[in-house]
Amino acid sequence: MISKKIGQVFFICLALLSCAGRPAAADDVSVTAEVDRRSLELGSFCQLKITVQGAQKVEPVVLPKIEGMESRYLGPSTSITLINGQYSASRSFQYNLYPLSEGRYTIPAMNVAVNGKTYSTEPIYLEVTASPAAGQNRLNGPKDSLQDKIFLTLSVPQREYYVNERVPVTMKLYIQNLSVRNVHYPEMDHVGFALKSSQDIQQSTEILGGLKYDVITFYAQVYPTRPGALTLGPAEIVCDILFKNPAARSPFSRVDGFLNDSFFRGLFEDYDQQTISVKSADLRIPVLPLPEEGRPKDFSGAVGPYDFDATVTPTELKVGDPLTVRMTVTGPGNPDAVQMPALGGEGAFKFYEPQSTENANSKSIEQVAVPTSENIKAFPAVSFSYFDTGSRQYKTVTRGPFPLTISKLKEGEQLKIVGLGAVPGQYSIEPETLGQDILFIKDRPGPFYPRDRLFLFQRPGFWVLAVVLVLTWSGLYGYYHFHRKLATDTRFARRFHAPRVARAGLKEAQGFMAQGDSRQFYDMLFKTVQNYFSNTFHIPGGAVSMDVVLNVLKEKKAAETVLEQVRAFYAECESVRYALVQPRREQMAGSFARVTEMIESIEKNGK
Amino acid sequence: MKQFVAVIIITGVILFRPAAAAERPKEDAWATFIKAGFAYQEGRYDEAIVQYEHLLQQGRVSGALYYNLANAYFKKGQLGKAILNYERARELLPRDSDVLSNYKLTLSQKEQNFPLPRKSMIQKTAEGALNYYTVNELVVLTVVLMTMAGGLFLAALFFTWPRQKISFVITACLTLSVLCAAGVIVKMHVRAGEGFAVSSTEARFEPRHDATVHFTVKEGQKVKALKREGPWLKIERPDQKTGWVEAGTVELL
Repeated sequence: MISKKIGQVFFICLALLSCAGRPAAADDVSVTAEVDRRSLELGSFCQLKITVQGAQKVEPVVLPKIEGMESRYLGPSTSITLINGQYSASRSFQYNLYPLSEGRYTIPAMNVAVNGKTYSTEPIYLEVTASPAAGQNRLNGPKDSLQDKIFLTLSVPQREYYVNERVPVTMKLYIQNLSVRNVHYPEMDHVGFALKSSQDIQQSTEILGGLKYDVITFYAQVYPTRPGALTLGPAEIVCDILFKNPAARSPFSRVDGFLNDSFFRGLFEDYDQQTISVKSADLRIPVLPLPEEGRPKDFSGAVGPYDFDATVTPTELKVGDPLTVRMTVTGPGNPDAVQMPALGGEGAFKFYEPQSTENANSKSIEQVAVPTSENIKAFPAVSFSYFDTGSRQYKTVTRGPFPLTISKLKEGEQLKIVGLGAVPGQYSIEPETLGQDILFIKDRPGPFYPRDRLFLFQRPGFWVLAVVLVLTWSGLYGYYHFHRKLATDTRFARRFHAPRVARAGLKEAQGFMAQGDSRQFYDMLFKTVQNYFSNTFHIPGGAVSMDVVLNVLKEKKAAETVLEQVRAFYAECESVRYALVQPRREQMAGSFARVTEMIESIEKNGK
Repeated sequence: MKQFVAVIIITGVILFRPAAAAERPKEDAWATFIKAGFAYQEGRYDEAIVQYEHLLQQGRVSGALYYNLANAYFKKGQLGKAILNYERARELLPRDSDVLSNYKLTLSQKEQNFPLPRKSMIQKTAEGALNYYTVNELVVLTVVLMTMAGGLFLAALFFTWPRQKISFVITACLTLSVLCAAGVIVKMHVRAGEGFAVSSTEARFEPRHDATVHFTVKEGQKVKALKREGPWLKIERPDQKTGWVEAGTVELL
């Protein structure tokens, strides 16, 4: 009783749905034939399904005799789908095919009569291989490779294109009996092409060689940028595929009974995910150069079927009022390569900076122009030249000239009372519109510079000055340090002054020599030499003796001649100062010369 | 002493004379400049350009000359060359309001087909400071500040000035002089290879006419020349895209 009621409700719903929805048109009928696999082993079978889409009242299809293959009709099935208020019905007929020997088989195209019309299926090719070895599962048949189950194709509609012509590219990802996730947008090599990717994606199913595939279609547009045989692709897509992990076991696998039922096994089956990359073949596309012959001078670079429109508004205005010129170029070519037409009327109109907008298939420009005279009768015509790929010729579209009615400004019209008009006796001046142009040239050239020595450091004088400055600074700094050392370093100061003091003493001795006063001469000579040694070698005055001096000189590795001179000097002084012998003038001169030579040689050797 | 001073003065005059320009009669240059100015005033921009370019070919440059030439190119609608010459004028007259005004107006009329990279506040400040001075001004400042620092150092030594007080001034002078020297180096580095597209062109991946077009260089676009290969020039756009263009389409500063 309950089942009868449920059946009634079901049929009512079906009837309502039938009324609500619109049936598919008769032209929507299609007939397809598909197999569940194309490769099978001897002893196994494959399933053939003939589907009539868009019709229900169809007689079962009688399979033609296929040599070397037995067929068994399994029965029909009907399905109804309702999408967006439209329903469609399909009727399928299923058959099992049993090969009797190895080889390649062809299921021929079959004719199916639907509503008085005959529809044909595509032929299907099957390959039957030898039976598997004993122990192998006979029902599974040979496994298809992953490349057969998922692959990517790349196609363009035409054989050849022109430079900058739009090339619509279709990339189709075919998937058969695979769970695919996270399909990325395909990447495509496009050397020699400018790429405009489109995010349009379509999903559908396709029968290819008798197999049914789920198809994801991606669209893109490329524009060849140079002539020659260019290569497009390969395209590559990255996605994840899910596959059953045969090694993984259900957590309930140890529990016998109902948990081991196929329903529960399916519920707890473990799936692995693997990221794969699917690559298409590449395409060789011949790209033709644009012909030189007949190319207009104002060729815009647009290639393809184009349309051009231009408007000028307003057409009635006063001198100084702005008008707007709008130009729109519509077409499929590379928008970056399209140059908008140049506006004429320079001098008669003052033009402002254009505003440009770009859409997928159109490029527009708006430019404000101000007429400079009331004598202007029209805005000049604008022309757009493009290369029409259909007729393979250059074409020019001209719009205009655009008639204008320009009136003169009335006297005092620039002054308009705005804002405070409601208050009598008060008015304001309309905000001034400032013109825009460059400032005038300069009437004096200013200082001229040599172009090759524009910068100071390119001139030798700069470096001379720099060296002079550095040397001056270094000299002054050195001078400061020298004087500081003289003031603070007694040893250095005595050594520094020793020759000068010695020279003064020798001069005084020379005076005594001139007077013939040998005692005073030798006293002074001795004193001078003693002081010299004391200052030079930093020895206290009272401690200077021949032995001390000779030791110091030996330590400083003075020459033997110097040592001899020192010994001779001291001996001479001893003999003269303490003996009663009065030396002659010549002897004094000789002593003076020896002492001078001795001091000079010590100074010369830096000892 | 008088002879020494005389020798110094004569040497200075010889060394610092404007070499090439001084060899040619100054009056000629003035006359050409004025003549070009008249041509400009009467709207004969082509003639003005020829006269100004003639002066440049003679090896003379001046800020006003570049400015006037840029004006003439602007009037002829050659924005690329106008921007190039305004930029050159800015190097010599960095604080001239006329140059800045015309330069900005010309830039506003230039087509820009890619977003310019954003600059940080520090970059903007540094750029502003560098653009305020010419290279020569920065060089002079560097020398003067270093001389001041050196002079103060020596004065402090000789006159035994308090070192703590004077060291602050010396450090400030040295820091400023280092900054000025760095400014010179940066300006010269930035200037090296900098140029402008004098006409719109296409930059390609390779220095060949049939190579793939990479991007479009609009007229007046600032670019940096990286390499020359025969008649081709490898350039870098401010957004760091590089490509090969025909050398004639880009003029270097």
